[in-house]
Amino acid sequence: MAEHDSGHHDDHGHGHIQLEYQPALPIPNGKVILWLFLSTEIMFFAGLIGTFIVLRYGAPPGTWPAQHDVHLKEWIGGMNTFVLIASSLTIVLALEFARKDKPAIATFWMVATLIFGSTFLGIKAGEYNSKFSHGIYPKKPRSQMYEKADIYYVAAVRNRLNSLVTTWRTEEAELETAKNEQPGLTAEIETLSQKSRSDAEELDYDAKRERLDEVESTLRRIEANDAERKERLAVAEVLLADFARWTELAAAKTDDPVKRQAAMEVLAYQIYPLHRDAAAIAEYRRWEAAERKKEADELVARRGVLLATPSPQSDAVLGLRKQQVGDPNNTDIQAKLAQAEGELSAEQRTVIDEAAIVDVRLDQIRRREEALEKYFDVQYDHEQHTFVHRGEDGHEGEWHGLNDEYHWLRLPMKLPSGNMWASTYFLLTGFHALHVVIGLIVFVCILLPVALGKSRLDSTKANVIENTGLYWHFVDLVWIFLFPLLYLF
Amino acid sequence: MAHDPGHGGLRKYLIVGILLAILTAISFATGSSQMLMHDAKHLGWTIMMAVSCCKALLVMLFFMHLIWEANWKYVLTIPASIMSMFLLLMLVPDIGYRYRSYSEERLLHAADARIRATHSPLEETTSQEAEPPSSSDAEH
Repeated sequence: MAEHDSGHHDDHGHGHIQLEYQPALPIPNGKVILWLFLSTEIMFFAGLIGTFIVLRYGAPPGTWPAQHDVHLKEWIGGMNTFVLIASSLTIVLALEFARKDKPAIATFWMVATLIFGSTFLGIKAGEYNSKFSHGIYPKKPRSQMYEKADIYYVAAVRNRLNSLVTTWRTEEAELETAKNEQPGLTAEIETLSQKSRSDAEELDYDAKRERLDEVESTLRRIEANDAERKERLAVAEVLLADFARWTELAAAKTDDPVKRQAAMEVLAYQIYPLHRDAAAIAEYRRWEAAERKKEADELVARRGVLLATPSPQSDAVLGLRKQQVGDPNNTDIQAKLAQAEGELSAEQRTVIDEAAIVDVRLDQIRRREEALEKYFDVQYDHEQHTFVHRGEDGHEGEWHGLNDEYHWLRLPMKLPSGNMWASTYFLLTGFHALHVVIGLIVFVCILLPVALGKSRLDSTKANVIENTGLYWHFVDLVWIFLFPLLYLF
Repeated sequence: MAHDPGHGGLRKYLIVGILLAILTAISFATGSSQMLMHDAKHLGWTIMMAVSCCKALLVMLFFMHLIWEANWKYVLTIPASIMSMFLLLMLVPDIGYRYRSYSEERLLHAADARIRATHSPLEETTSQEAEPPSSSDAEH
């Protein structure tokens, strides 16, 4: 065998190419790979953060939501930062003790790191939940955020209220039917069960029993939340008629574009108030009150003129018309109305028609005032530039909107640049959380053999822990930059 | 292989950990301070960025052990830093200018910072004192 010198192999006579071997890397291959990976991760997150900066400062000036607008709590982010820093510390300690061949202590610190990492994710899940529960999602259709209070927004509010009202009214109708069916069915089943049945009667008996089961389960299901449903239905009906439909009508009737916008902004504010709009909304409320009063006065005067000569037939018809508006499907009222109208002359009828329209509008105005008193009982605080509760029913302090008062409403809200905020927030924190999850999986992979008694975290494992630690420190590094950017800026 | 007791050491790591916690508290205090974030916005941002860079350096140098590593650390860190810096610098011309290139149609549907008018030009308002939009909650 020929001698080796500095890496040159002798040609064995087979025609091999002569390879030149060079000095090795100063660190283990695993560490090299991990550092290369981390530099790609640096570029990945630098790209995402750069995008966030461009989008955030490129939003229409002054629109970016404040922290409390989007339910972002800085102290929770701060707590998460402390948790992640602690986990960085514990993994370094685990490495130290592994190198010193103290596997038990090293395992303890690794488990501590796993716990801190899981705590981070738990707190993050709580944060995401608070966003979702307020209708803040990264994408439509789940996202309830609208950029402006325009006619599409008001239509969306009306649609949402409509769907709530329809669902509950359907449930009530189901309940009625079920209630009506139940006694009859029970009686029939009773009679059938007493006697011996033929084949046909047997089938009938089974069918009836099944139907009774359905009816009873429906009853149970719907009656369980009967009181709650009734309460909510009442609220939703008032909001639909006297908030949403009123706003649509007000916006459609006026020629003044500023007043048109004002009506829609008031609705948006009532649902989800933004501090910056409070002063203008106070002004708009004054306008509305003044206009309502003016219109009501004019209508009452008009009504007086129309019905200057009193007659019992006119009064009767007007009374019945009013009843009909409240209960359109009542055939009894319809019959009486048809009969009473038959007794009127032609001029009386035209007068009555106009007076009825006046009545309807007066009724709408009255309902609006009542609804505002009940559901928007607030006054403007000139010091704080915000609206505060005025009522004594246990509510005090700042007005937080209908969505806050009634959590089940989940009405669309006006939140300028809210969708952009949600996209960037969920993207950045989501990718970061994904990296945390991957880190936790690696921890479990390291700790599982230890738990099963198959390995120990001694100095032979120091390289694995070091590399894992490098990855975990990088995750911490990203959060160190994300926290001020997302929460504090 | 036995770890050279010249590097690292529990005390150093604990001290760095405590420093990180203190820096986080400083950053949080700056971010929550009315004065710094509203009246001296840019100063506040600068402080928070500086604190973040200090924290990042502490983590990289001590927890990630770079301060004790040989010269290969420069091969790794310098190109990566240059590339990240380039990326951010290349985005600078775009910061704050997006809104300027909105099309007419997009502007129609874009968000408004605040309600535009509290006076209607078509009518005289009945109220004596009109509340001017407050200037303190201007752009963030």
